[in-house]
Amino acid sequence: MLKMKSLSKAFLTDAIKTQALHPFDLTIEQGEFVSVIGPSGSGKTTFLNIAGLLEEHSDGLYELDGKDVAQFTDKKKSAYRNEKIGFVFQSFNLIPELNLYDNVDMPLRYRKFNSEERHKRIMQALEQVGLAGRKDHYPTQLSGGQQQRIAIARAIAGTPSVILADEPTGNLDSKMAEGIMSLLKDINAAGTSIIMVTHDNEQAAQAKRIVQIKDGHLSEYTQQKAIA
Amino acid sequence: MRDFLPIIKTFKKKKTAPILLAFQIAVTFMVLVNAIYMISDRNDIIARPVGVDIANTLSVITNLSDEQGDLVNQLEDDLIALKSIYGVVNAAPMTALPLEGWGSYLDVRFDPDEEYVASSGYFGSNEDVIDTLGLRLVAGESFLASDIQTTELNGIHKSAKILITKALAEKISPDDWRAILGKSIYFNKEPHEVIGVIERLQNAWSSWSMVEYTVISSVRETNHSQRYVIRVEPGQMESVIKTIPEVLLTHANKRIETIETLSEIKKRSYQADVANNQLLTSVCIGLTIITLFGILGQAKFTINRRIKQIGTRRALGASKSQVVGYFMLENAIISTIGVVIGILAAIILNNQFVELLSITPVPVNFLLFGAGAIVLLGQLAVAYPVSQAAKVSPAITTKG
Ligand SMILES: Nc1ncnc2c1ncn2[C@@H]1O[C@H](COP(=O)(O)OP(=O)(O)OP(=O)(O)O)[C@@H](O)[C@H]1O
Ligand SMILES: [Mg+2]
Repeated sequence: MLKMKSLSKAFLTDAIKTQALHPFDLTIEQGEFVSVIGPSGSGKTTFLNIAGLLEEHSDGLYELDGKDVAQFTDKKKSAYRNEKIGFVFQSFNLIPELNLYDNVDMPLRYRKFNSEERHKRIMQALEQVGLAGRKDHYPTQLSGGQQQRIAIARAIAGTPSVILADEPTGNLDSKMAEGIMSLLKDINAAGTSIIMVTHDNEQAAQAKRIVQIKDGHLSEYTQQKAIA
Repeated sequence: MRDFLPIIKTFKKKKTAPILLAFQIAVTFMVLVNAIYMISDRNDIIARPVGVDIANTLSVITNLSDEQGDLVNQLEDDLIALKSIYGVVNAAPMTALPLEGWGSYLDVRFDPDEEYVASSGYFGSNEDVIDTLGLRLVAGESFLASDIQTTELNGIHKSAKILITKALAEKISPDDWRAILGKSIYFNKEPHEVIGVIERLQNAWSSWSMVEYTVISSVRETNHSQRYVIRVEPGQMESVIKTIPEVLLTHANKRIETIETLSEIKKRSYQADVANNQLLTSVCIGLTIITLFGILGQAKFTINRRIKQIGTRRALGASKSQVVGYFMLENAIISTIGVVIGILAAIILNNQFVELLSITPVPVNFLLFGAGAIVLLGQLAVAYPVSQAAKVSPAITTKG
């Protein structure tokens, strides 16, 4: 589903080159749950941004569903993000002026769904995260864990093939984090691939596969798997 | 529409800024539409034809002096001298000049003891008046030399043959303006036979509602301050003006008070209107600029406030052009609310003012055109900040 070959990323700012990711190969199949771990500043977010078409890679090949993303126009990339990828951010990124229902609706409005279809999907997603009863509330009326659940509802309502999560529990206490993790596992169990960046090794260990990044060098983390 | 409802919903949550902007647009709209209507109304008034070939007509005011003997002889000498100038088509004496702002007027009656049916400006001249002013006779006849009477003062009191403008004929003989030919109308108790109707000739007062009602009487006056009108061949104005003093100033008592083209007289007559229009135009331009900056500033502000949100929309599937569309639509909705308030207010205020001040209301098509223009201007004003919004990277969603 996702195939990266000799992929690398360098940032150029004020003539200073930062090699955020050194060339690496990586393939992720449909249905996998992959954790990405590594120290701060190692390149985890950069990797996730490239995987999610939020940022362009500098060199190498990145194929999504067999298609070279370097050929995608902005419109095509946007549509791809909208239909195939669900995002869950560390800081939730809900739209404060819209209620929860409309927040979940937002990405669906870029699809060719009619209003019935959208309504069905929104309610289903809200039920799944256990917040259907609060659909008319606004984000500020929710706890952090609840806001992240809404963000997850927003991510799954469009039935993406992969969910990208950048430290989804980074702003939550451990109890709330647990809830989010089990929610993500349920979603993965239903067939959606998940790529999750985390600082928490215990959390990472719950994934079937762990990718480690150190100073921009990406490698498969197999020891942990063996221990577990 | 994808973005329409969500935009309305965000307005409900964050009212103040859009309401203020809509209100500013409403006020701008009302002031602009009224001001531009006043300007165009005034321009229409200024553009009305005088009825005279003003580009090739000039007036000379000179004196007839008692020391030089008979005034009538002096008048005739002057006219002979003026007509002899190379490039002059014709010349005639006149008691006053169109749009000069100075002269006599009269009340038209069909019977000296009845109520008057119209008021009109008055000019006294001779048989050359039609040719000299370049007037168009649309019915009846012009004066013959034998019709012309002479007086030193108050020719308006003399019973005489007259020409009237078609506008006046239609006013006093509404069923059939031609029927006025051969009839006599009374002013200053004296009967005056209408022998001809001219297409158009504005009288001395441009701001008078009856400026199109003019009577030319076949009475020439020999005033101490004598007015002549002169028509020249196209392109000869300058050389004729230069030659006039040479031919008129033949003795020590002769003076020329003014030489002026009718274009200049018209310009002077509308000076205040033109100045008002210029002032209004500046106000309109200033107000438009202020409003454009207001819209631009508001767009910049709301976009800066929502950078993170724009990134989120981009990440979740909005393309650059969809981000542009979102903010353009948001602005168009605010502008439309503004102009709708403006139109409603204009209609209500118009109804009040029209009765109170008896001004003409701004026509509906004007309001609609203005509304369209304001919405378009708003779209122009947001184009730049919105293009910046489209550049927000979706990657900012994962930063911090
Ligand atoms: N837009 C950018 N311009 C320049 N350098 C960047 C940019 N984004 C990231 N970097 C650099 O790339 C490297 C990797 O950053 P990245 O955000 O991917 O790290 P991370 O592993 O996600 O860190 P953290 O755990 O703190 O979130 C860092 O050195 C960072 O400074
Ligand atoms: Mg990061």
